[in-house]
Amino acid sequence: MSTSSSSSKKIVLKSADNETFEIDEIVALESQAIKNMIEDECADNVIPLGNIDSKTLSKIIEYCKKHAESPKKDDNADIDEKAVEDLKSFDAEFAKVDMPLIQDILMAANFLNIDNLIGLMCRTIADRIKGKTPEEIRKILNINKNDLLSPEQEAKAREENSWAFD
Amino acid sequence: MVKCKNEGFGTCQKAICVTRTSASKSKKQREMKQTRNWLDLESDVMANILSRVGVIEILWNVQIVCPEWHKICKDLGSEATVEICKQAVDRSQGQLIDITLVDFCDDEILQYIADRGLATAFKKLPLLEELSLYQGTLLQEDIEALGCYCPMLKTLKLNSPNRSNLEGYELAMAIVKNLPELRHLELTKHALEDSWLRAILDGCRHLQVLDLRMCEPDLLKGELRDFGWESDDNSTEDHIPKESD
Repeated sequence: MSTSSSSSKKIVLKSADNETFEIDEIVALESQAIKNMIEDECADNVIPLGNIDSKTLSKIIEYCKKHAESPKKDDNADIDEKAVEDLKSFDAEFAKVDMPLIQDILMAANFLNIDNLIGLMCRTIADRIKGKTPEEIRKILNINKNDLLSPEQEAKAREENSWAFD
Repeated sequence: MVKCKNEGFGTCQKAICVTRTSASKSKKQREMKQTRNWLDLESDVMANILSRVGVIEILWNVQIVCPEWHKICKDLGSEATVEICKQAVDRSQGQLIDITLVDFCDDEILQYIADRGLATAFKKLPLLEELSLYQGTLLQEDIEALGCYCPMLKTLKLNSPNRSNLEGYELAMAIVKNLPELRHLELTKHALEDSWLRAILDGCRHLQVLDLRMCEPDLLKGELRDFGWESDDNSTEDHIPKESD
């Protein structure tokens, strides 16, 4: 760590395809899993992330950087509204990626335990399947056509809930 | 410095519990990568997504997508019912005139409906004419709020003993003080006492129907007659409404 010109501590992550990413500790702390490691002093060496590829990991780091830099809500009651708006529009832009990448980010965020990012990805997916028919949803999410409810199950499910649509 | 060398999460006791399941899945995940199966997502993450889709969508579209989602949606079912009530209140935009909550009227659902308490809900319902609470809880401040925010309220039905600390005479006095304009009051299954029956008959001068079934009104027929009321003797237990009526 002495090689770093910055005074802050650095954390090194290694993706599944062996690319290394050096990030500030404050950025890494956005991940509860890495935070736990740092607290246990297990983060002094390279942290290998064998199930996250470099494309996904760089997106996640981009997200954590932005969020680590932004003032936290509980720090300051009258937080700058502009900062909140700025973060919102960053999130909106961040989520404009294709479905496979969204799933990769969601799985990685779940693995790294980054609460806000899990929420953002879940919200994004929910927004994309809202108002769609079951068939359209299967197409959007590329769900296997062999994995369907039987016609009887489907009819039963619809009947059970018909009260909600009177 | 060397204790975690090249072993990542594996040697970290605290991190291990967070990541073990995912780590053991990673091999499978790599194999599945080609097909990218959404159903590989852990079910709590999946539930997180589906719960954001909205209850009508869940009932109509989402649960039919595949068996896995069907199961998750079933688990979300009770929350969905609560959500429907919430939406009913929200969408009414103050136009709701009748609420009936049967059985599932617990504090949690009232909180949902009311954004923190029934009293707040009444503020949003200035045109409410009828309130029926079956197995519900009405507090002093709820009755005060009713009187304050729901001037159109004509009918109040409390179909089981109030579970709040507000009972008998206090309940009667709260009704008299805040809701003197009531036309129809139903207090079935309440422990009837002479004192509070008098208070209600004295205070709510516009009452047209006072429903006291299962309150042993026989004891008080004399009292009722004093106030010029005829009790309906045909109203036997056979006519007592079920809670689903």
